[in-house]
Order: sequence, then C-alpha cells, then structure tokens
Amino acid sequence: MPDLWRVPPQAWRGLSPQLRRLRRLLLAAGALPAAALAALVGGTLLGPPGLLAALAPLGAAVWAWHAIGRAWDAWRYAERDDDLLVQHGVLVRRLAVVPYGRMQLVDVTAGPLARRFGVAQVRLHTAAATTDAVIPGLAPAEAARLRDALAERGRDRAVGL
Amino acid sequence: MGAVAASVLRNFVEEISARGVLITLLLLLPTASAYGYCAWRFTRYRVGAESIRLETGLLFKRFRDVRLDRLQAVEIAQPLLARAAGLAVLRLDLGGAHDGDEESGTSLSYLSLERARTLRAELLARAAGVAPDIGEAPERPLTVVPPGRLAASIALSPAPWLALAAAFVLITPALLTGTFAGFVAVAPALVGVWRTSFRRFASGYRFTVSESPDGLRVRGGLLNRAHHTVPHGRVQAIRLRSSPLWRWPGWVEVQINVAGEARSMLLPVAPRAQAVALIERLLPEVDLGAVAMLPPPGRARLLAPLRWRHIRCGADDRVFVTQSGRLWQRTEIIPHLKVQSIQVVQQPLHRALRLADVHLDCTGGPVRIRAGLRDAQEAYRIAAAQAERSRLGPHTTLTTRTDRLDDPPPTRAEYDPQLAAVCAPKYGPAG
Repeated sequence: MPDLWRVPPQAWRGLSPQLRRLRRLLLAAGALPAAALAALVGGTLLGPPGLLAALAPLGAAVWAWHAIGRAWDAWRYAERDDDLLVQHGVLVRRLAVVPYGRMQLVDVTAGPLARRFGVAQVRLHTAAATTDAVIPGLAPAEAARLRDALAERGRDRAVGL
Repeated sequence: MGAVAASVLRNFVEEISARGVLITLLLLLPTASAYGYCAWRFTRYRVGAESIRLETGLLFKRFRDVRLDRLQAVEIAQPLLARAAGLAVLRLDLGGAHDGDEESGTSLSYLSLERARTLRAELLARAAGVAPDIGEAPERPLTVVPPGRLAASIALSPAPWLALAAAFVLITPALLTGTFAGFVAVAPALVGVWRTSFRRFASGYRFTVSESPDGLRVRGGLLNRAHHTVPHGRVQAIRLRSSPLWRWPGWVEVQINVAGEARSMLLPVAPRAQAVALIERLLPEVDLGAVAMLPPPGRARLLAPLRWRHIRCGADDRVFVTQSGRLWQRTEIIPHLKVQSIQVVQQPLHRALRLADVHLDCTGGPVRIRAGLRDAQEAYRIAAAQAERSRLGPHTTLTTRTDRLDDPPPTRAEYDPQLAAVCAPKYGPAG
C-alpha cells in the first residue's frame, strides 16, 4: 500500500508511548482490585481452591494488556502534501483520508489525567458529521505542531461548500 | 405513587368548572396577544450591502448579523394559519449545523407574502452580487408532480398498507368485544398511517421544481406551502430511490443533501428519465448513463447473496456513483468536489475475503455514499483516486473518459486513467 499512497514508510507516525502507558495503568487500576475481590469471594465461599477465581480477571487483564498494545500499534497517521491519512483498528481496519481543503476545524483536547501523562487528542472536523479522523494520543508539542500545520494548509487550500 | 397521582388528577378534574375555564381564557388571551404583539413589534431587520441584521426580543435583545455570502438558501414557508392570513415566514439557511432554525434567530416571521418574496429576491441578488433591486428572478418550471401520480405512488408503496394493516389488526378485537381499550392502542398505528400517506401527500402536493438564475426553486404543499431556493452548486449529494412496486411504472424519488438545509426532497415521485434529466441539469456536464458501473468481485456473494447482483459503483471525471439495494433500489451520486473525507473500512469478515467498503463522507442529510464489498486493493485504489481528485480541486478538469456502457467493461487498471496514474508503477501502466 505505501506505493499506492506514495508515503515513504518513515513518514507514517505512531502514537505517543505515553498513551499506551496511560491506558495500561488504567487497566491495572481496574483489574487488580477486581482480582482481589474475586479471590476474596472465591476464598470465603470455597476455601483455598476458590482463590483461583482471581485468575479470571487476571487473564482478562493480560489479554486486554496485549489488545491495548496492538491497538496502539495499529494507529498511525501520515501527512501528505494535500491530505492527512489516519489508519487505525485491529479487528475493524479503518483508513480515513481528509483533504486539507475540506477541514473546517481541528480540535486538540486533553483531560486532566491525559495532561498529567502528556498526551493530547487531535480531532479533525469537516462539514460531514461522519468524518472519523481522530489521533488519540500525541505529545502536546507534536499535537500543537500538527494542529498549526493542518490549520495553515487548510487555509491555503480551503474550498467552499 | 400511581394512586396518589390518580387522586390528584381526579381532584383537579373535579375542580375544573366552566367558570374556571372562562377566567383562565380571559386572562390568557390578552397575555398571549400582548406577547405576540410585542414579539412582532420588537422584531426588526435591516438589509445591508454585505449582511442582514436581525433584531429580536423585548427583554432579552438579540442582534444577529447574517453574512449574505454565507447564505445557503432562503426559504418562504407558509404555515396553515399564516397562509389563511396571507402571511409568510422567511427562513435564512446558513451552512454548517442546523441548531433549530427558528430558535437560532435566522427566521423572520411574519411578513406579507409579497414582502417576503421581494425580500428574498433582494437577499439572493445581493448574495449573488447582482444589483439588489433587480426584482424576483424569472423562473422556468422544470418538473411538476401531478397529484394523481403522487396518490398512485403512495398507494404503490408498502408503508401505508403495513400501517393500515397494523391498525386493522389492533382494532379488530376492540370491535368484536365492544371494549374501547383497543381504540387507544390503535392510535399509534393511525399516526403511522398519517405519517406514511396523508402527510406525504400533503407535503408533495403540486410539487414544482423550477429553474431560475439564482438557483433551483422547490415548492409544494397542500396545507403548509413551502418554497425554497437551492443556490447553484450547493447540492452536495443526490439519491434516487424506488420502492419495489414503483419499478413497474418506472418511478423514482429524488432526495438531495444541501449543506445546512433540513429539507431534502427534490422530487417525491417522477419517471426515471425525468429525474435523470433533472439531475443532469443540476450537475452540468455529467452523463449518468456514461458512468461505467463495476460489480463487486464474485466472492462478495458469500456475504450478500441477494444484494450482490445489485451492488455497483463507478466514477467519471466529475461524479462518483453507487448503486445498491435489491427491493428498494438506490442510486447515489456525489460530485467529487463535495466529498469531505474518504474512508476505507474493513470488517473482520470482509478481511477474510479480501473485501472492503469505501465511504465517501458528505454533509448532513439523508444521502450516504458507500461503495460496499469492493476488492480490498480496489477499495484502496478508489480512495486514492478520490484523494487525488480532491487535490486537483475545482479548477482543474481531469481527462475525460470516453468509454460507454456498450464498450467492453474496463479492466481494473483501466478503471480510471487517474487511478492508473496514482497506482503506477505497481498496479497500472506507467504514466
């Protein structure tokens, strides 16, 4: 596919590793208490063998840990001369192409936790509500650079409705 | 809880007397009239060279400057009562989100019909950069929907009959047993009958599409007459749809997406040739018959055994066209310039069969364009070609396609010369 889009492999950029860390931390914060609770309930009901009940949440957490990694890996974007490509999804693969001339605005958002981890989300809006071009985790400096670059190119190429 | 509510309600009902109602009305009527008078008195507008300023509100004043070059459409509506009084509402449609046109202060109510007409002509003339006192632009009717055909088209569509059958099924036990509970249950079904038949008839009654220098004029309606103008080049996407029984008289319904415009009906029912002629007038230099429509690969049959035969997509140098649907056959058309973004979506099952969908996103409305179940490589090539067309922009024309339907179907590499250029050197002949 790279030859189809004429994007050299190194021009594809990925997400910030901080996003993966943030998501995995949230996962751990949910999974460990769940495992403890399962062990407690299993242990009181069935005695020592019931402690194995903790394995179910832990197993799910291990799977989710890998899923987060794969989703993070699959998310990438590339700035071409006249449009932005955003590719994501492991099960359902999606590729969005947004021409700069059609962008109406670029949102950069970061929640309190995300700010602490230094990740920001960039979302592109066009006149179509169905446009689905989101880059969920970028370092704030990169997010700001991308926002400014997109806004500038959008200005140069703007097309009316 | 229920018992308490019931007793409160009973007390309330018992306390309603004729005198109470009269006093309430006596108080309410002047208040309402005073409010209506003030709302009318304190609504002003002024038309400037570049904008129209609206001023509304008695206590909470609101000033709104509507830039004329942002005007997407100007519509004259006549609700039933206003129509009886010879008044009209002028609605100004701006691009972007429609967050409740009435509330957002972009409507002027009420003007006399005559005044509304001249004001609309003036606004449209100013928006188009013509002398403002040019008067209402002349118009030439393109299509009129005769009421007989409209009634026949509703009778030939399944929805009213289904709603009627549901109403009948619900009402039968009530008629047999003589209880009235069944009549209550039947109310939603009757609403369904109303929505699917009478309202469609009322809104499509004497539907007229005419052409004028400032755009396409669409008007129609039995009780509430609506009248709006779609400026040239503002049509974002078009859909032709026919219900199963319409295929026998060869009728289609035409809907359009217009940015910032809630109304989407362009023609409630028309013979296909007439609809196609109208579309070709909307999109000049487009010949729908000449767009080469390509079927999906044979393995797509596994996922859509019945629909497979009817799925098509194709493009020429101006529009992208998709066809789908077995019973409700649809044709969707989008000019390349109106494509806002492009997506290639691959579900897990699709990936197993090396298939993918291409979505072309356009502004809000009933028309969605998706080319389903394409070969995955082809889907990415379609997306790349669309991106390339966006890049070339409105002022560059692409090389014109010359193949017609009677030519042998093109191979994938010949699908589009532009595609071949994009795909070079791997997928097509080099340059």
